[in-house]
Amino acid sequence: MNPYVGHPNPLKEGQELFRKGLLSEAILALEAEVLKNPNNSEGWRLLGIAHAENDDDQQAIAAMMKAEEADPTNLEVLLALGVSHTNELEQAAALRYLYGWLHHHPKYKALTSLETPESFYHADVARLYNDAAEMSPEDADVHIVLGVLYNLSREYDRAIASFQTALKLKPHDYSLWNKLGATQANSVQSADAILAYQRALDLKPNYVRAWANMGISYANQGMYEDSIRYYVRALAMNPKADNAWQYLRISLR
Amino acid sequence: MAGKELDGFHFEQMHGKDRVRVARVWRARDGRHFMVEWNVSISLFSDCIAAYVRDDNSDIVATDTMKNTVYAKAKECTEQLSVEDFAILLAKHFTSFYSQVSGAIVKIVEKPWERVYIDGQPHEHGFKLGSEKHTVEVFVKKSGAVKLVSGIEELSVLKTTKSGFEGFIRDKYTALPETRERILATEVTASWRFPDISAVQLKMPNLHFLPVNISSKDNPAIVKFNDDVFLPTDDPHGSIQASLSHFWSRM
Repeated sequence: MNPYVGHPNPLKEGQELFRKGLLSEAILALEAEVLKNPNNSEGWRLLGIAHAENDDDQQAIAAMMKAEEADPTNLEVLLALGVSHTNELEQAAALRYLYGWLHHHPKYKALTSLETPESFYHADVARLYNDAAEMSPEDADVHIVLGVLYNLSREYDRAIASFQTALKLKPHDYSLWNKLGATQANSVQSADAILAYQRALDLKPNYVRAWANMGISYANQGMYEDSIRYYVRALAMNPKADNAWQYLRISLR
Repeated sequence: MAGKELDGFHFEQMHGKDRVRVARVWRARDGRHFMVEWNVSISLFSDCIAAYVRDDNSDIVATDTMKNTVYAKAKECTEQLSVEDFAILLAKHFTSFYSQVSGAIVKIVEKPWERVYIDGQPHEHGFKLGSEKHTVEVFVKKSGAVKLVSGIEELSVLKTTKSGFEGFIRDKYTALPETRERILATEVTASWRFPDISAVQLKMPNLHFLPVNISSKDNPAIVKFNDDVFLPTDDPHGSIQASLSHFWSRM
């Protein structure tokens, strides 16, 4: 039984809980909101973000797609969908959403063609983004999307460079620090990854995904005892984090 | 898969059909034929506790129906597809077509039919059986989550030299001499999580080729081994397994 069903303003409650870092509680409130107002794209969007930060890309995608239905031009939604699909290694879908970000951006839509192509080549999308970056080198978001794009093609050095450029412009973006860390971790730079995750956690202490990612980077260095501590922190905050259970099982062996 | 609480017991069940054999031929417009032969096993997780406690089969998908579905879906695949894609298609069907089914495991072994070459030219519709089998195991949940493990099995490989075995523990039960020259043969079973190749598992039994030395009282060298004549054996055989895993960090 969801305690927030029947609440007069579950969206406001959800936003407050999210701000306080109570992700699982925020999710309940936001679920009550979208039950009440199924066309509220902001409710779906925040629900998607909360799920992603709670380390559940499947649920994040489900909520974000509802957000996109309600508001197909929302740039944050398109980026979030691109990131979650990249995490799920669904290249074609990720490219579609990341192209969509550019296509719907008032400043950069001119770089894209009028019609949306059926399928996308990574090289083409990357080139468009590099054009956008040349146009506006101070736009952190362009560098962030570039970083996600380079993760897709496993060009980790380029991804790291893009995220670092973005961080110079947005040094307090906890999600961006996690993106940098994840990229470093996936390119076997575990020690650097841990430093990045720590910055993310300094900014958002209840960031379940970053706790789980910390665990992975310790485990990848063979420091299994340490990794267990991080997985347990993640699971204490989100007992439904399937990935973390899986990693914990392996570290315990 | 989550089980159910039943009078203080934890109850879990799955049911399905093993070893459904199907072959599919695709005829291209240019006259070339493509074919696959698959051995399909299906296991469904479903909400059918009534069948176990109440004589009520109304939530049961008959395994015969599952078998029929394999052929029906193969027919529907008018375009050639990989064994991975067919496994995913089948598993997604079961989890979406039946409200009672919460998860499906589909395992397929693909028999290695290969196109024959005549005078260096690929034959349009002639095939012969090759070496290793291609395997796949897919787990699909109703939520849409897909876990895929691809693999090969029965890949037999052998080298006749540049293999040895030395420096191992020698104790009061050890008789094996050290060697720097021997045949090394194995039959590889490998599997890997797909598409991220985040975990690889290898199973490689040591197929022993034993040196043959035969002597008698009168003839001490009926056969004297000189890295030339061997006795291939089946059992017992060494069994070596290893797995490597790496977790994908998420942005």
